[in-house]
Order: sequence, then C-alpha cells, then structure tokens
Amino acid sequence: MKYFILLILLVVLTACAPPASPASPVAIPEVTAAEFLETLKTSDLPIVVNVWASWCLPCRAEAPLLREAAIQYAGAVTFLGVDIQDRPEDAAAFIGEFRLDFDHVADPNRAIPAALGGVGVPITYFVAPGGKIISTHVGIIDERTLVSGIDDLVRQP
Amino acid sequence: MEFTLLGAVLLGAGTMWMTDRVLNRRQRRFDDLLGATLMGLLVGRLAAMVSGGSYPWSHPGLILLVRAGVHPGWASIGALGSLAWRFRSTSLPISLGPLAVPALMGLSGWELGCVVRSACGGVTVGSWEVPIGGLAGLAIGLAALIVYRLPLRTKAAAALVAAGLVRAAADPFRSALNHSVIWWYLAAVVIGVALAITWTSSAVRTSPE
Repeated sequence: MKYFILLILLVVLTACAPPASPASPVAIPEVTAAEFLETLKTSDLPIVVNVWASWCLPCRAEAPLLREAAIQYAGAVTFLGVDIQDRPEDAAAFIGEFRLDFDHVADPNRAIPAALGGVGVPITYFVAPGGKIISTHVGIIDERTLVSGIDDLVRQP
Repeated sequence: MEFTLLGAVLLGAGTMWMTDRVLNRRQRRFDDLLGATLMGLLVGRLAAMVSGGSYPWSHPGLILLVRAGVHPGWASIGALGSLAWRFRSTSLPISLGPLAVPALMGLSGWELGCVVRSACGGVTVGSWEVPIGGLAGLAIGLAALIVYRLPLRTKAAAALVAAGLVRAAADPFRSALNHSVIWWYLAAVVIGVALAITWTSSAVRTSPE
C-alpha cells in the first residue's frame, strides 16, 4: 500500500511540471559598472537590483519570489537583474524558465556588484530613487525580507 | 550572508524545547514535535516549489533551501499528518494533548523571532506600522496559557483553533506577496472546532455512568 501511495505521489509531482517557457529571443545587453550606476542615479522609481547567475542554485530558489514581487509592485518599483559570469544562452534559458519579465543586464566580469558592494551571489540591493542603496541582502532572500525591503524603499521620502 | 532567519528558527525550537521540559517531566515529547516540524517543513517546501514553478525532480537540492519559501498550509498538514501517523495506534486526543502547549509556544517563539530578523513590522495603518510579528507571538503565547488550563482531551484541538485564529487575524496585516493563506487558517479553525466537539462527545459517551 505504501508503495502505491509513493507511486501516486511521484505521478502527481511529475504531472505538476511548469509550462514550457520559450527562452528570451533577445540577448541581454552587457553594460559597464559606470553605465549601470548612471541608470540607478537617473531612475525616478525605487529599484530592486538582483545579482544572479544561471549556475547559482540559490538564485533558482529565489527566482519565483522575485517574479511575484515584480508583478505585484509593477509601476511602483523597478526590478533590474544583473547576470554575472554567465553564457548568454544559459542566461536566456534561466530568464525564460522562471519568466523573469523585467530588465536584465549582463556583467561577465562582476564589475557591477564590485561597485555596489557585496560578495557572492545572489545579492539583492534595495536602491532609492537617485541611486542611494538603502539596504543590501547577500545570499538567498526570503519573502518577508524581500517585502520588508521593498516597503522600506517605497516609504523613502 | 545573514543568519537572522536561523536565529528565529532556533528561538522557536528553543521555546518549544523549554516548554516541553517544564510541562512533560514524566515523558519528554520534543522528539515527536521536532519530527513533525521537519516533516511539515519538507511538505511545505515541496508545495512552495511546485506552486512557484520549480520542479523538485530536476533540482532536488532546492528542497533544502527552505528560505526560499515554505507553504504554511501544506506544512501544517504535513506536521499534523506525521503526528497522526505517529500516534495511529493510540488515542489521538490523549496522545496529542501533551504536545499542544509546547507546539503553541514554539509557534510563539518563531513569531517573536521577528525581533531577531528586524521584520516585526507589517502594513502601515495611518502613521503606525503594525508590529504584526510581535503581536501574533504574544497572542499565541497567551493562547498557550489558556490551552494549558483546558482538559487534556481538548488541548490539541483548542491549540489548532487558537493558532488558526491568530494567524488568520494577522494575515491581512503581514508584509507578504500576493498569496494570502487566510483560508487555510480558517479551515484549521473549523477542523479544530470539529475535533474538539468530536473528542469531547466521544469522551462523554465512553465515560462510566
């Protein structure tokens, strides 16, 4: 009986595969750290910057949270992804798999996180309009930390 | 990397352990509680992964990254289901009774762990940020004191009702993404009330005249 239950569980889990998402047809642009910092400074909206890579397991774990947050806070907060040390096709596949429908830039040399501060990946920066970094979260981010960070951003004067 | 989430977990587990040591001197039940908690984490993590579009079979390592999300409803089912299986050969209300107060105190400790995480605040009402984590922790702790005074047979059901009520009341005030789980908490209240009625009436039927 227990093997039957296990078989049913396996069938249910395999049947719950996410729908296939086509990889983004456009390669994400590569920018320099100076260009990226200028983007942050000139933004009218608060920005959540997420540094990720397709080979990073914690990045895969937190990607659904970021997608949900980007949808929920659309129009109030801008989400920007920074893909580091990655192959373009892997990056495109990652974005397509998790449907991360916000802007991303490529940073093969890790210059952007070096400029913003922080070691490792993933890193999430909460940036106020004008480019001031309000807080930085290193490592996988959980829902409450993400939403609290966004709430702090939105409440900035 | 910060370890505040781990700190909150340790606070919850420590509160649960301490309460078990104080109340259950004849027979410690912490192992049962811990096992149920771990089973709940596993089930809740799998549910969160599937609902988020992650495929457990393709990346099983993601199961361990509980920080990315645990569905509280499915986690509760996993925990309670493991306890029901553990005590399947005994009287459930009598077996679960001694676990009720330590479990509530563990939940209270976890909620109060928001202090460690600097994440006690919820939504803003007027100019006041509702410290929902702290309030929920205190409310569950108060519920634990009430449940402690109840007859053994009704403790577990009452604990389920109390936890469901507090979580349901707190849910609208939490900082969270758009997936309210309030209906799960309300279902827990209904199930708890039904169990309390069932277990109490069966005790009345089986008690000697």
